[in-house]
Amino acid sequence: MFPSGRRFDRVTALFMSLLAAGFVIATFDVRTAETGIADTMRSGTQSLLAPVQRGADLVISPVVSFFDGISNLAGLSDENERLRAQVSSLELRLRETSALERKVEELEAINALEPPLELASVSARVYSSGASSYDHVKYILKGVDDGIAIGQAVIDERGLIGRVDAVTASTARVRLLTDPVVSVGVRVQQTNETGVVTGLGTATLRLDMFDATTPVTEGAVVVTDGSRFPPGIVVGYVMESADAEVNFVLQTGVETAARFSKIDYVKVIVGWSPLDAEVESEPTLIEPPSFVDPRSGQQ
Amino acid sequence: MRRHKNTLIALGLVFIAIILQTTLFSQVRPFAIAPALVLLTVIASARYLEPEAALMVGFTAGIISDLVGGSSLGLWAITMTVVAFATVKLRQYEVGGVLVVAAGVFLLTFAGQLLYAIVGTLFGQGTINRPDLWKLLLFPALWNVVLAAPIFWVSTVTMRRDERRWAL
Repeated sequence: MFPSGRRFDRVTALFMSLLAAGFVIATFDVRTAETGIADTMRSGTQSLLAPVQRGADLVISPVVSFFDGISNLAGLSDENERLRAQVSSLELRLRETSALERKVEELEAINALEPPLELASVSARVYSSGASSYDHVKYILKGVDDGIAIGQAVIDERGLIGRVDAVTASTARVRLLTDPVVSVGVRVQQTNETGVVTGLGTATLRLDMFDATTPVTEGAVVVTDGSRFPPGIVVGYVMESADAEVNFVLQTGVETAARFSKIDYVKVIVGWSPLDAEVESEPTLIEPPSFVDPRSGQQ
Repeated sequence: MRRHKNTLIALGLVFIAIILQTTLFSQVRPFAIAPALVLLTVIASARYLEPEAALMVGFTAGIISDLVGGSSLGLWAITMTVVAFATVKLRQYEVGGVLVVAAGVFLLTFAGQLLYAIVGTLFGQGTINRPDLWKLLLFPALWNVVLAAPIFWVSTVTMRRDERRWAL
């Protein structure tokens, strides 16, 4: 295959060297996660590629949407029928919900509860994704200049999408909830018990509840518990009823609320930090510092 | 001179492939799985490059894929270097015809994706435990067989202008 033994040695040596370099780089990156030079290189690459990717996206998106529209025409009639049925069902549920809302308002008034605050958010367009189907990341056209910071929750109109895990001045990378390395603290609304959902690489997440005393039923809503993300964001719905055996973890699947196959726009929640939850839980521990006027000596 | 020119052309093709992979194939994903276009471009380029240049192009393509992806740096670099090396070893057999080329593209893509899953798991990415792993291995390999015709044509036209033949 190679003309001479010397040549073969050179190629094999280069091959082995590159493999060794790859392993060294990977080890170095894992060991220095989110603090090393690798993240600086990632940000630099993203800054360089972003303008080209945005340009390509501007050309590609309308073309893809056009073909999407054509392929969807055939299914529109069935979709209309299905939507009509859904509207009737939702109208019925709306009437039921209105009655429930009145009850909740009364209960809130009785217990002097505050309704959940409207959190500040920034809308952003998705312009790119990772370089392979193994990657569970999306890139958005908002960055530090728009108030985006690492760790912030990213949502769409249906629920939680993921969190910001890298950011440049004008772009940010969102690590999706479906990534196997992502875990989120959650609460099952039906039972009010907490657990953790972990990505599996698909639209199904794994729910582990370590201290569950009540079974969960199919369709139960799973929301964020407020430990890392703002509380109450819909994460998904329990796919299969499950019960915890004595001393065993309750484990079941959760279907994500967000539709990961088609994410065009997202919202980044910028008005909340995990520290807010800690401050709210123990407000009395924070004493305001006393101020002494050096001229008068009065407080 | 020609060798260096081909290396530069190969790097240009890899750059275009990365842009298309992260934009076009972010939206066009038949059965929710995108083709492995960058991997296919490395295979297409390695057919015409000197062995050392093919390895360097594979490694560079991998590093850039790692930088724009979400996993640890170096994983795609290892994978694409191995795929480039395997292509250099196997390219003598492509004279067997279109079916041999298609089978080669399928096997190299499948093996590359599998290698990435294994190396990724070693470095904590949890890829091999995914319930849809078979789809991640099979579909990109199938899409790459379909895309091989245009991509191989482009690589032939740009890197061997004087010997234009279909995919060879």
